Amino acid sequence: MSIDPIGPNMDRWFVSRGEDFEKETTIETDFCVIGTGAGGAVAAAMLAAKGHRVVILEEGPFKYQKDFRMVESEAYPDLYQEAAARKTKDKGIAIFQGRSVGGSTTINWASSFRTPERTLRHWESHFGVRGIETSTLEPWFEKAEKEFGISSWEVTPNANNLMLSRGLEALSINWGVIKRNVIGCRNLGYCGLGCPVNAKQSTLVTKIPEALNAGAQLISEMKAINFTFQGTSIDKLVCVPMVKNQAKKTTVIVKAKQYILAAGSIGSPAILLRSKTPDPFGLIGKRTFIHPVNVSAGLTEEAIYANSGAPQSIYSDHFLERDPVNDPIGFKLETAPMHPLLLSQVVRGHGNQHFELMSKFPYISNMIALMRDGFHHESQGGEVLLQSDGSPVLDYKVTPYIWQGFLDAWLVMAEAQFAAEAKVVMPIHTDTKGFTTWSEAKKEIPLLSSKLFAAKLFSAHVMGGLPFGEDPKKSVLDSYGRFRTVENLTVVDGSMFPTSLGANLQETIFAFSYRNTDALMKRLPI
Amino acid sequence: MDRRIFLKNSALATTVLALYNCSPGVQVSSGQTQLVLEDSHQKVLKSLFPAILGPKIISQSSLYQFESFIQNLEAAISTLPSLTQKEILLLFDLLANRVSRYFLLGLWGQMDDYSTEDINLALEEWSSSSFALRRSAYEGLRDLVLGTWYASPQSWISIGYPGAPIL
Repeated sequence: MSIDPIGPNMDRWFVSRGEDFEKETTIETDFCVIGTGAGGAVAAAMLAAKGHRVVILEEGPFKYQKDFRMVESEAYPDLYQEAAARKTKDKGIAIFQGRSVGGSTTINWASSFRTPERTLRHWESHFGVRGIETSTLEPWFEKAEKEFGISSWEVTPNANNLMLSRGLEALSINWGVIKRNVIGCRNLGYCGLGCPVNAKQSTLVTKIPEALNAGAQLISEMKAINFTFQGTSIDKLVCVPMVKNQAKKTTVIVKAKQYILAAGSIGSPAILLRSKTPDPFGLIGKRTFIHPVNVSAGLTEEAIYANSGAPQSIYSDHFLERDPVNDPIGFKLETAPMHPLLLSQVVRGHGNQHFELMSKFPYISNMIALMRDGFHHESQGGEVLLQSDGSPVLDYKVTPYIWQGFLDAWLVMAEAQFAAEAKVVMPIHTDTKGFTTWSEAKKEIPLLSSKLFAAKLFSAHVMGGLPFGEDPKKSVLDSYGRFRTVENLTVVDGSMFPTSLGANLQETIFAFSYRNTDALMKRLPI
Repeated sequence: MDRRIFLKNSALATTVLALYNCSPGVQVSSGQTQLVLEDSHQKVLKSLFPAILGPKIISQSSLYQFESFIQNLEAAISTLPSLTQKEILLLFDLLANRVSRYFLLGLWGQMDDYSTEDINLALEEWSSSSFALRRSAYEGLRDLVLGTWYASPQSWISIGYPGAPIL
C-alpha cells in the first residue's frame, strides 16, 4: 500500500469545511483559486510555492483514500456532480464530472494524452491563439508528465481493452497504448470511484498536498456563487458554505487581489453568468463541447469482467487522423469500465429484457467512440444556462453531423467486435437487441433512429465556454487565460479551449494551467 | 403552489407534461436530508417496480423486498440536486393521479387491477412514444429504479458481479 499523503498531515494543514462557517465571514488573501481539479490545483501549488497567500475553494467534499471503498452508491454522491446523474437540458446525454477535492482527476480513468497537433494548429488558424507552438508547449507537457507520473502502461491490458486492440489489429487499423498517471498501480479497475491505493496521481494526492504543505488554505464544501465588481476589477467573491449538499444560510466573502477560475466548463461559466460579467459579444458559456460518446457492447464466450483492471489502456486515433479535421466528424476509440449501477443505465429497456443482458455482466465487453466536436459549422457546441435556482444546465443538441459520426463509429466498433470474436454485438440503442453477424450489423446500423433517448449517450469531457485567443469577437480570454474585460481574473481550466481536444483532457489542462499561471506570475508586480 | 391543486387545475395532460420539463412549482421542504415518499407515490411505485425490474428479479423474493427497496430509492433521490428532486416528485404525482397516469402510461384503471405483464407492455408503449417529453419521463423513472436496484449488493449475485476486490 502506498503512503497516504493526506490523512497524517490533516492536523497541520490549514483546511476547513463548509460546516465550520457559522456566520458571515470575510477572508482576505492574495490569490483565490476556485476549483481543485486539473486546472486549479496546479495553479494553487505554483502560487503557494512562491510564497503567496492562497485560498483554494472546492464545492465538493474533501474525500480521500480512507473514503474510497470501490462502491458506486457511495462514490457517485460523494465525488460526482449531481451524484453522477447530471444530464444535458433535454436529458439526452449523461454527463460525468468530478465534484470533490481533486475534481475530475479524483474520478477519471487516468488516461493521459498531449493535445493533438491538429487541434493546436486549428486553434492558431481559426481562433488566433498565440504561444501554442509545439516547441513552446513541450516543456509544459514534460513538466506535467514528470509531476503527475504520466508514463506508458506496461501491464497487459484487461480483457475489455484487449478486445479493442485485437479487433482493430484484425482490421489493420492503427491503435496504441494509453499513457496513465499512476505510480504503483494495482490494476484494480476502480479509478472511477476514487483510487483506494493512492496510485493514481490525481491532484488530490499531488498538487493539493503540495499547495497545503506550502501554506495554502483549502476550504471544501464551499460553493462559489458570484463575483461583485468595482470598476473593471473583481471586488469580492460571494460563497455559500454547504453541509451534505444543503446550502447553509450564511455567506463567506473572499477578497483577493487575483482570482483564478477553475470550476470546470459548466461551473466556471455559471459563476460568470451569475455575476453578470461584462461580455460584449455574448460568448460566456457558449461553444461548450463534450466529446459526445456512443457505446457498442460485445458479448463474448470467455468472461471479460470489464469492472476489473485498468479501465482504459488501448485507444485508436485512426478516425481522428484519416480525414480533414472538420468533415466528417472524427472520433477517438476507447473502452469504458463497467460496474453494475453504471451498466444498468447503459443497457436499454426495462424488465426481463433488461435483466437478461445485465445477467451476462461478466461477458459484456464494450467500445466507446468520443466525437471530436467543435470543428464544423454544424458543431457549435452547447450553451451553459442558469436555471430558476441559479444552478447551471448545459443545453447541447446532437446535430445530424454528429449523429453521422455515431453511425460511422457503431459500424467500426461492430466490425472490430466481431473481428475480436464477439458473439453478439449490440449498439446501445433501443432499435436493436443486437446482431450475430457483421453482415446483419452492416445493413441495420445505418438505419438506427436519431430520435432523443433511442441511443444512450454520454460525456465525461466537458470543455470550452470561455474561449481563449486574440480576437475579442471570438474569445473572452487572451491567449494566456487572462479575462479580457476583468483586470484580476485568470482562467486555468478546460473552459479556455475554443473547440474540443480530440483527446482525454487532463494532461492538456495540467500543461495549460502551468503555462497560464506562469504567465500570470510574470506579469504581476508582486 | 400545492401539488394537488396544481394537478386539479391542469386542464390538459400535455400542459402537465410541458411543466414537468420546466421548473415545476412544487415544493420540497428545504433542509430535508432524507426524503420520505408519500403513500400515493408508494402505492403506484409498488405496482411499477416489478415491471421495471422484471419478474425474474421479483420472483426471487429473498432479493427484492418493497420496503427496503423504497427506502433505498428515497435515499438515492435525496442525493440529487433539489431541482431534480422536484422533477422526480412531480413525476410521481403524475403517476399517482389517474388522469395524468393515463396520459403517461395508457392505463386508466386502478394499478392493482393490472398484471405485471400489462404494466410491462404499457411501459414499452411509453418508452416508444412519439412524444419526446413522454419518453423523457420514462427514461427518468427507468434510470432511477434500475440504478437503485443495481446499486445494492443484493442484486450483484444474480448478474455475476463479484463485488470489489478485497485489499
